[in-house]
Amino acid sequence: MPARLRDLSRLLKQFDIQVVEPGKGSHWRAVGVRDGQRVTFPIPAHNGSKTEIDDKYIASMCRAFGLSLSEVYGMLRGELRSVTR
Amino acid sequence: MASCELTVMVTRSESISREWVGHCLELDVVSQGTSPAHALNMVAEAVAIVVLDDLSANRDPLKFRSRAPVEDWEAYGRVIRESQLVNFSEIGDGSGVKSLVVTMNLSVPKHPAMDVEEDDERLPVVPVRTMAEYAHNSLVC
Repeated sequence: MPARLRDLSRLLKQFDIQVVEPGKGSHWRAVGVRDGQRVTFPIPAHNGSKTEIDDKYIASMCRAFGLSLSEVYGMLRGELRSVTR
Repeated sequence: MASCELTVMVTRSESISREWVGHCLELDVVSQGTSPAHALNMVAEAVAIVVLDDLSANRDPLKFRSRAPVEDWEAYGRVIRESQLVNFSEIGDGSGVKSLVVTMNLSVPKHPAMDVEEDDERLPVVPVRTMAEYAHNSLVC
């Protein structure tokens, strides 16, 4: 299930991952912490906040930040309202 | 100057019409575009963001970032076995192409964090935005 960048951006904030729109380039930046280190992961945004993000990207983003893919999809589908900690 | 080769798999998106997904397997970095060339340029930009982020934190991206999962490497192996070598310029909008593999050369000024093989110092720094122009040969199936 692809997701709009703006929906993904709202979701990531719940995991304390900030999403930054750059001044130039075609990627926004997801900035979070992994294993105590600040990590930046680019998000494709060639169509701005309306960009539809492919499932393959969502899976790689979950791996990069150590997120549960099923939990992320549950939140995207609206089945889970908040992060399970 | 230090350089290394990165493997990029470009495939049609299974969920978004007319979209292509590019995946750098060594760094598990994914991006996407509206054509194979666009996807490749997007992956190059994404790789540059990741590499610069890691180098600024004094990390070797090839050690800090995880490689793509084994199933993605297996898919790469299948493409290698089933594909033919073509000039990248022949791919165009990707009509008739299911997936392609491109080897991307990453060149960075020598950095203490990166433990890569030192190469010819005359090797030019490849601007990120023109990476697709350097993908002269691609494996396509």
